[in-house]
Amino acid sequence: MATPAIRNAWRIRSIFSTRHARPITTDALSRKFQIYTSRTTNPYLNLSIEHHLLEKSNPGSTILFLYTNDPCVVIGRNQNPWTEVNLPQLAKTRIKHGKPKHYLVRRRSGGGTVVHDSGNANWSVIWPKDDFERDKHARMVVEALKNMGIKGVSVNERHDIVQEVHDPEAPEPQPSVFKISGSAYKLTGKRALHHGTLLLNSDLTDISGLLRSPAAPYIAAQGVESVRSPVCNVGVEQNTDFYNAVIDQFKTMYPDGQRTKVIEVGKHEALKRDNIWKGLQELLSPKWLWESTPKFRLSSHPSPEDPRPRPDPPTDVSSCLYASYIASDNEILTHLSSSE
Amino acid sequence: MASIARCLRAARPSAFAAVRSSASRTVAARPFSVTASNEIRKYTKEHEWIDLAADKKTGVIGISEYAAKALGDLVYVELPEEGRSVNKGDAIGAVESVKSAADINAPVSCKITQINLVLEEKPSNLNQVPEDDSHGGGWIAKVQVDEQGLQDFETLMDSEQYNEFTATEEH
Repeated sequence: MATPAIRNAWRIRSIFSTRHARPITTDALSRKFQIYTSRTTNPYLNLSIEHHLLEKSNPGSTILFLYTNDPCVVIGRNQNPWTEVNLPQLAKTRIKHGKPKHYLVRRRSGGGTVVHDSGNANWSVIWPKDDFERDKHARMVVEALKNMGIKGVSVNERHDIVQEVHDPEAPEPQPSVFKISGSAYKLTGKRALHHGTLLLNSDLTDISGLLRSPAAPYIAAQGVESVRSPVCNVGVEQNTDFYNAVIDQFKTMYPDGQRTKVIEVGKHEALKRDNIWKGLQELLSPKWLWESTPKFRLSSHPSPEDPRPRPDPPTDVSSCLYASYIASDNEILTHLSSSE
Repeated sequence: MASIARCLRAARPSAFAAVRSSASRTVAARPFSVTASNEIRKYTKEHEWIDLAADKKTGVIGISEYAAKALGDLVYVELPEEGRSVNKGDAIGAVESVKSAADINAPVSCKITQINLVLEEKPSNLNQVPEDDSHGGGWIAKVQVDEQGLQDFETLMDSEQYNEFTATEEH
């Protein structure tokens, strides 16, 4: 748990970056319709604010939450960071201007791995599970984009938002389809959460490399494997323009929430809530990030359980090394190695 | 795991009928099972089931056939922690399907004594036989039930009430 010193450090820093932010009060959480935007760009904190809204809001309420994160790679709840993410590359890109460039985050919802940066906006809707419908709010975002004049957007069969792009200079006349938003769900006893990314003007150069792990050929993992899709930006400069369009469409979809005021949540106010602080500590803990990885087998050579051919070993590893182990719950269950 | 079914049902109108018929099949098959002969099965509104043994001290829990159908293809089961004591409604594990992590909640206050490790390798057992409490079945955990747990148990629905509940939830 937080020591007072660390907590104060957060608070002191936040005084300079938080103006006009409002707290998430019990009164706000009890309302039938709620709209929040976040002023913090810390991915762990934004996910913790979102989790607080999921857990503490009136079970009959419908909530829209919009936020943007610092550069980070976000894996699904039941994914393996070693197979999904190029961790050496992540480590290399991590330090830029003295600040970590990409964080590694494990979220609480299902699904696959995505890369965020300041050109990506995140939308999140929480509503009663009795009214759950997979595509309802992805369609809401599609309508918002259409209202912004963006053409060719729709929800595909994987519940992702895609854009059909016509390139007049392409040698082949058929349109190309790109993913512009990935999404995931979390379902609790009474509540449903659907959140997604939206590529507005992200830097896409690092994405493909970050999502190709050099360890993947050696690891057979339980859990969820990401599905690779080509992506593109919709070309919106200001994330707030997207926020406003989604807020308008949310109010159109829920006319009873027409007069809902937008609450801007700041870091300082958010961290005052014990539940948010607790959620933040959980996401930051090695127990959550690494140790909750579903069971996996790493073997240097093909085995009956994982007969895939392996790439040539790196030059600094002896080709005589044989190693195989199974890891689960931060324990190595079986271990076999030799270097005859 | 309530009416996640709703949107899926639009695409697969036959799903509900399948749930109902297979649920009654499960009930019909129970008298032939040696271990299950004296158990009473009840359901929660969140679509978990619990079999309480005749001694009223132990039980088996799982998710209902209705919920398993509604969730779609399950790709991963996060099993409860053995030895943990939980209150009714606490999230004890989760299942993932179609990008959704859905909590499994404790149907009654209880202590987890054993988990179904087969589901780690074969999460699809949860789709195929979610209400089977034998080896190879889709049960989630075996539990010890205390006085509070027994009181919680009394508030749950029997299979007839549960079938009515899932039927009315449709409309």
